[in-house]
Amino acid sequence: MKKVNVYICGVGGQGTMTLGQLLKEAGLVDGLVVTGTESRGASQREGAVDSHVRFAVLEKGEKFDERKSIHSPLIPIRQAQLYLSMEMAETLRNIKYVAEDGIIIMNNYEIWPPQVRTGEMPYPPLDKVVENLKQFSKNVYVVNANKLSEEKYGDYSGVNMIFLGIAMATGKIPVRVETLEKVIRERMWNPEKSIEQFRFGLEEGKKILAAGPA
Amino acid sequence: MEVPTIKELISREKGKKVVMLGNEAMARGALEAGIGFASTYPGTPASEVGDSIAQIAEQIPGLTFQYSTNEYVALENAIGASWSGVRALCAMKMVGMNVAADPLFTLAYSGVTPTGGLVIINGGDPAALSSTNEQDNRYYGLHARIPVVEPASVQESKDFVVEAFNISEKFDVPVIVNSTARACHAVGVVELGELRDPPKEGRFVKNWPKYYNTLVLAVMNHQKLINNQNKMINEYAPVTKLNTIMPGDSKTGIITSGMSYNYTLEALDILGIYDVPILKLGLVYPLSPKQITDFASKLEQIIIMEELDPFLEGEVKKIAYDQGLEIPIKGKELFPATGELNTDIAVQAYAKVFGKIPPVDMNEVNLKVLGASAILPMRTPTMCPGCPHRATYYAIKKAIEGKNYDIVWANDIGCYATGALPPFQMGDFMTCMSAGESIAAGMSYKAKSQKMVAFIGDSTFLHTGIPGLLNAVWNDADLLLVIMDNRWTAMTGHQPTPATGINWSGKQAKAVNIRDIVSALGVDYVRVADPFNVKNTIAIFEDALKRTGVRVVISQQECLLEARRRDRAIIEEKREKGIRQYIDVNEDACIFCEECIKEFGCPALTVTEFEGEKVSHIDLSRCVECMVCKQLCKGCAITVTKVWPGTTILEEGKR
Repeated sequence: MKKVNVYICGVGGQGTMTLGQLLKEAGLVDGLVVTGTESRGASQREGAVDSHVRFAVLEKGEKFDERKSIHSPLIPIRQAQLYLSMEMAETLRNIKYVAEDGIIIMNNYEIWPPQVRTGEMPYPPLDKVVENLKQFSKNVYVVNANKLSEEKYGDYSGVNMIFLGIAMATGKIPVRVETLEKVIRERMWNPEKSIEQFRFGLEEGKKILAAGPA
Repeated sequence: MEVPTIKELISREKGKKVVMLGNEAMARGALEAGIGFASTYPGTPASEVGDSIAQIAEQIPGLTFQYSTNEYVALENAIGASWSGVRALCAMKMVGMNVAADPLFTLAYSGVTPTGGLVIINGGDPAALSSTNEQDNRYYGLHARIPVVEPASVQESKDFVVEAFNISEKFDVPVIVNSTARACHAVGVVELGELRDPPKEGRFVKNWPKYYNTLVLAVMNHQKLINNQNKMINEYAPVTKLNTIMPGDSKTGIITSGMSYNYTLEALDILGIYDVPILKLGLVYPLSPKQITDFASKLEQIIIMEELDPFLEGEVKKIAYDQGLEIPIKGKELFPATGELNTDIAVQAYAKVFGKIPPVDMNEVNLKVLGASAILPMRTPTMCPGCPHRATYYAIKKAIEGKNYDIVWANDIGCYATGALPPFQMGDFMTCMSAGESIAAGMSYKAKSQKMVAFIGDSTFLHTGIPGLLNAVWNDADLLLVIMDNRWTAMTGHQPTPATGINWSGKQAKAVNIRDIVSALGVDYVRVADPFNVKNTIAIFEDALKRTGVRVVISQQECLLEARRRDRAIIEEKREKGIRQYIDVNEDACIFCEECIKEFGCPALTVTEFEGEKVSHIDLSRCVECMVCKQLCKGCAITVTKVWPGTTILEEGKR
């Protein structure tokens, strides 16, 4: 049984929970074993939040074995094949989860915490963050979903779906693109626009991945 | 995004598989058990249990729901429903159980009714991510002789609630479903069972000895409780489906429950160990001595993995002593008793037990993360942009500026607790719901040279704050109580309070007036401030701080998150018509004093450097137009531009 772990982090209000829910639901539709967990409660807006998404995929002809399946909603350290971060500095916070050969997709968008705004602490520069991320996995891809959304839609309304599209482009998520689109159609309040944004992200993602890691 | 499971919560498609949150699954379980009553006081991690039921209760005839003013009231209401012969659910977070403990113990004596089982859902919080402690509520089961059930998966979260109702009625006792935050917030697949319709109404069948607890009647009911428990231990606990055994040939066996079971399985898989017998307890109290001794019969050692206190360890060791079981039983010597456990901690512990080397050295990874994330700024929770609490704290800060006050800041439970962090640092202690005002009152008799200022939210005040204020008045305390009234129980997801003016279903309801309550309690000095009116609020606090005795300032302004959510349609409509409002910083006027950032701390405002020049900026995607920064700006640099159809921003900006 193959365990696939997708870790998503960001800052409260960015939509990490929504992305996690869409992926889990798509996993269910595709018949996978699905589990995960979300930050809720005190991690309100502006706080660090994350979402763990876990799939167990049976190989052809393999029998289900409870002892080898996924159970914990939390991803064990160094086991996330895909590590997604919606905010630049936050990428570092729980980097222990990324697998040695895992793919890190970092959204190059900064949300300054209070200590940075008041000048008590500096916000780390991009090159330093990437350098530190590379200590954990060489596959660091820097994207800017906020910029992509702003350029294409005039605001940040597409960030979530674009980012999801980029994540799907890695091929690491074991759900079918059609399934995910079906779930987006059912769950998002503006389905057609969301699908368009998702497909745009998927195309951009292919380009970013083809260009190779940072 | 639409909440994914609201339709599924009341789906009648038996066997359908849906993705659910642990809390939603427990709510679904209660609906499949045919509850006719549910009550809750919202508290993370259990909030969504009540919220889920609130969203669908109107669609189920015979189901009554309420957000109660606090947990003991919630439980007492549920008892009333149960004693009327109707199944009742009561949900709360673990510290809420302390509030509900008063009726709980005597409820155990009286029990429930043959058709009116009562289940208490209790959200635990190892790691205290949204609580002031980590208390382990399985001890309430031991203490009050109440069965405790603990689910490990989202599916079990649903199934175990149904079974908890069956146990409750079978053994005439309330049942606690103990679900830790991780289980409450786990998301997984649930196969739906059959939805059971609640009875149209119930009826209280009088039975004086059962319900009237005092003297010999109480003693008799206590004995009845013990007898029922013994029956349960002998007849039910050894055979219940809640407990399962995964067989194995190893001479070391594991006893575990809940999340720890999941961590155990995955840790053993990581270590490549597949022959260890595992007793997974779904019924964590009471245990069956027979089941434990049977499980231990071929073992040379028992490992117990559980979160927080050595509860199972203690229970198993009691049984071992009684049954003459002479094998080592190890628990807390392997696993920490504080914080949350996880697979990684389990890997380290089991590696030690089974003589294996973990594939990943957790300590090494943690050290490496520490080094790599040293450049990462802290991200403490803070008040949202436009939060009225921030404006209140700011006004107090200005009111004491230049004065030589030595102030003790008593804080309390709610969003406003973040006032303890910079830039305000107005929180010297935080204990439990509404404790701040009374601890400050107590201090005022002894720490006489210091001024006492206590903060309390509207929901917290109505929860248990009223008796404390009454006491302060009666006993002549010296205290300024600031009621941070934002109209909602905001922290837990914007549930209404008795002062909001709506009930659980969003329908208009009687709104109590907090000012009237305060006055009725005998407080002579009551002022209502609008924190978005900065100057007035500062003046009110200046005056209130000068005086002595019990003074109350009600700082009243609705939570802007909620107000904006409600007004979204209006805002959208205006936008479509071309009516827009822009808030901006006039670069020429900004003197870069950073009052708005360093003193006020709004997350929507920033000063950055661009090509060596300072640039001030308002992030419009986060600004919610509270207009407080405009009032406190020393350079009058914050401008508001209204754009009407047919004009452009540029033209307007010139004006």
